[in-house]
Amino acid sequence: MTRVFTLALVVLALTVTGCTRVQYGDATATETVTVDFGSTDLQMIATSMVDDLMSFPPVVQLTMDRRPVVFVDRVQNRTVEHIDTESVTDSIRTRLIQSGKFRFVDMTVVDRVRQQMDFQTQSGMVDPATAVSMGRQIGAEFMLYGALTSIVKRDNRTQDVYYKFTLNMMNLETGIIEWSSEKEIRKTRSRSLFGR
Amino acid sequence: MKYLALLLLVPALLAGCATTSDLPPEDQAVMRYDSVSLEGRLALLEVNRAESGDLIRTQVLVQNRSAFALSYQYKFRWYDRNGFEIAPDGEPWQPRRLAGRSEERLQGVAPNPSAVRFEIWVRE
Repeated sequence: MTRVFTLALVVLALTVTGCTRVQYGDATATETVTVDFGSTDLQMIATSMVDDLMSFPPVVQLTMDRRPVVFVDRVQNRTVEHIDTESVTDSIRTRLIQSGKFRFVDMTVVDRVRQQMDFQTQSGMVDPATAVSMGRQIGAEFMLYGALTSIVKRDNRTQDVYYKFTLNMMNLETGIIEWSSEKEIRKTRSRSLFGR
Repeated sequence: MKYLALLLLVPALLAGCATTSDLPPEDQAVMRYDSVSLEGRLALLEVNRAESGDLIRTQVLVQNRSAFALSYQYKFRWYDRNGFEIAPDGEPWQPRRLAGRSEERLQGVAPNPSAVRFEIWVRE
C-alpha cells in the first residue's frame, strides 16, 4: 500500500514539474501578449526612425563626407504607462553608430569620465605621457530629442491603444530642426464573446 | 452539385487568381516565405531600388491575393558582397494587416554601406 502511495506521489511530482519549462525565443519576433508598449513597438520605432533619418536627402548630403557628432537628449514619456524611453533612444543610437554615418557623445557618463580624467591627471599614479588631455573632447553638432504619446480608448469588449513617437534633430548652433519624423502604432485587443 | 461548386469556389477565393510572375529574374528570389501557408496568398509584384548616398533603399509592392484580410509579418535581410548577412538580429519582424485583394508598399533602408543585396522575408 505504501509502495503504491509513494509511486503515486512520484508520478504526481513528475506531472507537476513537467508543466514548467524554460525556453529561448526569437528576440525579434512579434510580441502580442498585451496591448501595452512592448519589444515589437520599440524595435519598429527604432527601425523606422533610423531608416527615415538615413534616407532624408539633406541628411544624406550632410553625412556624405563626414560623420556629424550627435547627442541624444531624453525622449519624454507622455503616456500613462511606465516606459523606458532611454531604451528606445539607445536602440536608435546603436543603429546610427553601426551605419557608420554618425558619431555620438554621451552626456549620461560625464561624471564618470571626469572622475577618470581627474584620476589620470591628479592622482600621481598614471604616467603623464599616457594620460588623456583635458579640454579635447568634441562638441556635439546636433541634438536628438522627442516624445512618446498615447491615446487609449476602451469599452466593454475592446481596448484600442494608439502610440505616436516623434523624434527631432536640431542643429545646436542655429537652433534649426533639420529633421523630424513620426512613427504611429495602433494596437487593438478584442475580447471574445465568451472568453475573458 | 451546388456544394461541389461551393467547394471549388472557396479555394479560389483563398488563393486568388495566381498569375505567373512578371518580375525580372533578379527580383524573383527577393521574396522569401518563412511560412508555406503564405505562398500563393501574398505575392510580390514590384521591386524598386534607389540609392540614398551610399545606402541602398528599397520599396517592394506586395499583394494579398486572397479575398480575406491577411495578417503577416515581414523583415528585410541585408547581405554584403561576400554573402554575409549584416546585423542578423538587427531587423525586427514587423506585423502588418492587409485587406483582401489589396496591395501595399514596404520600405527598407540598408543598415550600412556594405549592403549590396537584400531579401524580404514574410511569415504568418
